[in-house]
Amino acid sequence: MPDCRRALSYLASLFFLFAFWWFLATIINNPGLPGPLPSLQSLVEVWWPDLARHLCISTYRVLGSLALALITGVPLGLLAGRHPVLDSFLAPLVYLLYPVPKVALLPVAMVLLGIGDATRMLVIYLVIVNQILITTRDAARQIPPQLLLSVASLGAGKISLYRQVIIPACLPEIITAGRISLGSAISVLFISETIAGNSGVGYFILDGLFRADFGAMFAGIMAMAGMGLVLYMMLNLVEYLLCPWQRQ
Amino acid sequence: MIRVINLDYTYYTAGGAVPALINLNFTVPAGQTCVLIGPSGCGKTTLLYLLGGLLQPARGEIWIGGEKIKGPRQRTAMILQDYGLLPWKTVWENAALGLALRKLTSRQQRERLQPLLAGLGLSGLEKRYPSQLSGGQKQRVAIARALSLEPDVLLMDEPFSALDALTREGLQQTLVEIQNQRRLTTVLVTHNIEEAVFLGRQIIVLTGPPGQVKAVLANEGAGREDYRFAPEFHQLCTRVRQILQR
Ligand SMILES: Nc1ncnc2c1ncn2[C@@H]1O[C@H](COP(=O)(O)OP(=O)(O)OP(=O)(O)O)[C@@H](O)[C@H]1O
Ligand SMILES: [Mg+2]
Repeated sequence: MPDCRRALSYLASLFFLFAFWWFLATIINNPGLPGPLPSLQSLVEVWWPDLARHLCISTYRVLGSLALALITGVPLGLLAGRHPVLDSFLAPLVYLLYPVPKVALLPVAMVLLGIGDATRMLVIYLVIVNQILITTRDAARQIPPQLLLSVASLGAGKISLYRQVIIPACLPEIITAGRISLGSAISVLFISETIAGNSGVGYFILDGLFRADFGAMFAGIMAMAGMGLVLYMMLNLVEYLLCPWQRQ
Repeated sequence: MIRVINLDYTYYTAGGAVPALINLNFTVPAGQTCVLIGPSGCGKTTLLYLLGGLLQPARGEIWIGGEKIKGPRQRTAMILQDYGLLPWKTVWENAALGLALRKLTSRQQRERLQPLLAGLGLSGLEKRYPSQLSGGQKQRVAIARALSLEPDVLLMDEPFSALDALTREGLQQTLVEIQNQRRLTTVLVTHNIEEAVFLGRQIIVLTGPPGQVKAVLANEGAGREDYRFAPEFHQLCTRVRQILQR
């Protein structure tokens, strides 16, 4: 049973991580780094309704900005990859904007849009849309011309070529870009939630720090890690469902 | 019938113009198999794309069945170098793609494809993906897809080059049988001299680059059952080899 063995190996590494954490906490022996057991205990204590509410808000922000980045980045990337004219306009723009630290725009966005969800989602969006756009464009560029020609020779028009060839050819790369973006999105989310406002897991963690409630702080960190893990697994599931030809 | 008249083709790249074909003239009578053979880079694939309407000539004309070619033609089927099967579609979906693009219902698709796949020995593989097939099986799927459109012209670019000798000869036989049943006008590109002589009722030897016609050979015995063992077969192979090396 390979599935069974895989699940077991995941459990084993989870156990290993917790053991390592426990080991660190024991030798450092500082209330700033509680061990896994006290942290789990306070996770249970603060979970309902407080942490759960913050977690919902954070998840909404991450998923919302990821969806927005996919909805805009993927079509643009596909078109830029297939139409050099569009790319020659888009490529320098992306290139020039790439080194600008988008997180630095957070204060600007706050002045302009206030400290609501829109500000945070905009900044997360700006960080990840580049990655998605560039990966999609490169994937669309690398489609073997023979595939396109052979389908064109069957009488496919432009739209059919996108549906039958270009989109499925890029789909695995797009999902990979989504997975990579997810990590960046959660980092930026954390920063944006610690700067201002009073909602989200980032705020919850920082609030724990200020109240010197390190148990709550670690409960927040675990919640954020758990959110990342679940979203990551969901993307894997999406890949499994949408790309059956890639299964072993 | 295929007629090629004063055909030129040039690729334009960042490095400048690359002439690929210069002043080609030949005719393939209806229902015959014509083989194109020539050194790598002499423009065989380019010529096939032009015949299929995927590229437009720089000069000259191509006529098929009394019609001038301006784009892909409904009744021309193509099998490209390295198969052109879509990795994300199953055997069935790949074979049915042409029919689906022509908006046939799934029932009509089944009626046409099932006997074709069975005839090509592909029954039972319908749900597999191309990565799960052998080279010969992939190529038979490509043949099934081409034949599903009930073409009168079949264009093939090195269809058997990636296969071992036995599989290759088996598929050559399949092709001869299809040819005997359906009388397609076929243009086949190959690097392999024996394949050219076994299949080509007419053999066009190209040189290049840029591609030009070097010789046109008639080959009465093409497709005959025991042709491979006949002295004429070997004589013609030698002649083709000599022309290619000259
Ligand atoms: N897209 C392209 N842009 C520029 N030049 C090209 C392009 N495709 C082919 N060529 C050039 O045109 C010439 C003919 O190429 P073609 O692919 O038709 O050769 P071929 O006879 O099929 O070769 P092979 O036997 O290796 O498949 C070659 O010299 C090649 O370098
Ligand atoms: Mg070629």
